[in-house]
Amino acid sequence: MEAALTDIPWALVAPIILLQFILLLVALIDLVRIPATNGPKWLWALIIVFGNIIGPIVYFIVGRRTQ
Amino acid sequence: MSQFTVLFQKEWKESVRSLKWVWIPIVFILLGIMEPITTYFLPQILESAGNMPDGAVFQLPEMTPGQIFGSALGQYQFIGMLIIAFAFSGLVAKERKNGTAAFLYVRPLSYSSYILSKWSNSLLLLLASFVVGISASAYYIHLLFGEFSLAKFFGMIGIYSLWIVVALSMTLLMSALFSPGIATALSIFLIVFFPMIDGLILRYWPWTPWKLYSYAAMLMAGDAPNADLWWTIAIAVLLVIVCVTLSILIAKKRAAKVTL
Amino acid sequence: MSGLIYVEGLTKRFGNETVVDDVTFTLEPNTATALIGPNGAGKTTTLSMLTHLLEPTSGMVVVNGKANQDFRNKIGFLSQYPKFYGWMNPLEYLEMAARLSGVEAKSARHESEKALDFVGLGDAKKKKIGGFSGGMRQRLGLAQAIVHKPTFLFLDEPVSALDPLGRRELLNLIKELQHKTTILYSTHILNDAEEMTDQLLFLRKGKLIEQGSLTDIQQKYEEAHYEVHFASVEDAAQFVDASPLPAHQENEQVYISINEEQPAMQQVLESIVHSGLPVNKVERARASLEQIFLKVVNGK
Repeated sequence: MEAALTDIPWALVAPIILLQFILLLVALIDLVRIPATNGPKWLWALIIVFGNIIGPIVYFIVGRRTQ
Repeated sequence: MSQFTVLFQKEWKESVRSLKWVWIPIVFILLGIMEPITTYFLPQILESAGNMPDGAVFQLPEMTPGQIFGSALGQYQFIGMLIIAFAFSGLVAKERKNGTAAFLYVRPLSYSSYILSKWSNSLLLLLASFVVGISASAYYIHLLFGEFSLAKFFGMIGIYSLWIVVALSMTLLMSALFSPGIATALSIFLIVFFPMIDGLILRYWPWTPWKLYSYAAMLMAGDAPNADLWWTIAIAVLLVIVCVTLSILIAKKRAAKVTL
Repeated sequence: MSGLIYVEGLTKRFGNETVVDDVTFTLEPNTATALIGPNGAGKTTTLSMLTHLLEPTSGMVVVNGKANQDFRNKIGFLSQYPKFYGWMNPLEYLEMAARLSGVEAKSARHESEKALDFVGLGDAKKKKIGGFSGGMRQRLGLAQAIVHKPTFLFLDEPVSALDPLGRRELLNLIKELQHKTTILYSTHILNDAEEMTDQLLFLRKGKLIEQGSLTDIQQKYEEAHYEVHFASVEDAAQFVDASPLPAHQENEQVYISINEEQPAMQQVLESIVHSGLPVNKVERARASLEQIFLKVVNGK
C-alpha cells in the first residue's frame, strides 16, 4: 500500500488539493467576516471543513446572508 | 443604454463581492480536472484500497480522450447545472421578495436593461468558468490520455456553452415568474432532471435543446456534426430569445408583487 | 416644474375586495399632505398606485395636467422598511439611484454626496450598508428618495418603525423639504401628522372619509370645552356639585362642555365667581388630532 501511494505522481494531483484548499480557505475567511449567516456560524464552519468540495459550495449558495 | 451600464455594474459588483467570481471558477476547474485524474489513477486507487485478491490483475478498458471529455461534461451536466439552478434562480425572484427591487421599480426602470444586465453578467461568469474549467480538463486529458482534435474540442465548447446559455435563460425565466423557492425547484427540474429523462420521453425528436449535452459529447467522441445538430442549435437559440423576452415582459407585469 | 396632482375616483380591487374605493383628492404644489388611517385602511395601496407599482382598477391620476402618464422620474419614494443591498456602500447606492432616475453620470457623484450630507450620512458614505442601524437605513432611504431632486415625495409610514430619537431626526429632515417639494406621506401616528401638514386625508376601509386643512378639520370636529384648574381636589369636587353647567372632574381639573352658540367663556367665568372657589387656570381647549381621528374613524 505504501508503494502504491508513492506511485502517485503528486505533481499531477497537487492542483486538486491546492484548489480545494483555496475554496475551503475562502469560504472560512468569508464566514468569519460576514455579519450574519442563515443558521449558526459554527455549523457552517463544520460543513465547510468536513463537506469536501460540496461543503463550501453549499455555504456559498445557502449560508451567506446578504441582507 | 446608460441604465444597462448602471445595472450591469451593480450585478458585476454583486457577483464579485458575494465571491461568485471566486468559488464558481474554482469549482468548475475542479469538476474539469477530477474526471481525467480519477479515471487515470483508478487502478492504483482500487489497489491501495486493498480489495483486490492476491495476484489478480486489474484490467480497465482503454479510455479515449473523447470518452473522458464526455464524462467531464457529465460533471458539468450534474453538479454544474445544480449550481446554476441554486445560485441563479434567485436573480429576480429574491430581489422582488426581499424588497430590494422596490427601489428599482419606483424609478423609470427599463425592464429590458434590468433583465439583460442580470442575464449577461451571469453568462459572463458561467461561460468564463466553463471555458477555464474544460481547458484545465483538456490539459490533463492531453497529458494522461493523449492527443485529441482541437477543432472538435472548440466545437464541443461551443455546443455546451450554448446549453449553458439555454439553462441560464430558463432559470432566469423561472426567477421572473415565481417566488424564490418555486423558481429553484422548477429550475432544477428543467436543467438538472429533465436532461436525464429527455432521452427517454423525447427519444424520437432529436432536436430538443436538452440534447445539446449529448451532441457535445458525441462530437468529441468522433461523430461528425449532422443536420440534427444544426436544427437543435437553431431551436436552442430560439428558446433563449423566447425565455429572455418573456422574462422582460414578466418583470414588468410582476411590479405588483414587489415587496415594499 | 410645478408639482400638482389631481386624483379622481382612484379604485383598487383585489378579487372582490375593494381596498381603495373611489378616492378623489388634490395635492397642491409644494404642500405636505398626510394620509391618515388605521392599519389596513388602504394607505400603502394608494401610494403604490401613485408610484406605478400597482395598476389602478379604475380612476385617474392627473399630473400637471396630464392624465395617467408614467411620471416615475419625478417621484421620490420611501417605504416604512426600505431594503438595501447590504454589500453596497451608501455612495454607490445613491449614485445608482440617481442614474436610474435620470441624473447624468457626471453629476451623479456630486448629487449623491449632497444628499448624503443632507441626511447626515456624509461620514458613513464608504461603509457597508449591511452594518447600518434602523435609523441610518431610514435616513439613507430618504437620501435615495431625494437624490434626483424629485417634484413629488411619497413617503409610506416614513418614521413609524423608528425609536423616538430617530423619528425626531427624520421628521426634522422631512420638514426641511416641506414647501420645496410636493409631499404625500401616510402615517398612523397623529402627532407626526399634526406637526407637518397642509392637508389631511382620512382613509377608512379604502374610503376617503374626510379631508381638509388641519385648522378646518379641527374647527369642524371641535367640541368646545373648557378646562378649569382648581387649587385642590376638594374645591374641584365642590364646584362640580354646585355647577349649573355640565361638568366632570379629574383630580384638580374640571372639564366643562358647552355649545358654541352660547357666550361660553362668560358663563364659565360667572359660575366660577359664583362658587367663590380659588382657581389657578381657566383655558379654552382645542380637540387634539387624536380625538378628531377617533371621531372621524369611528364615524361619529
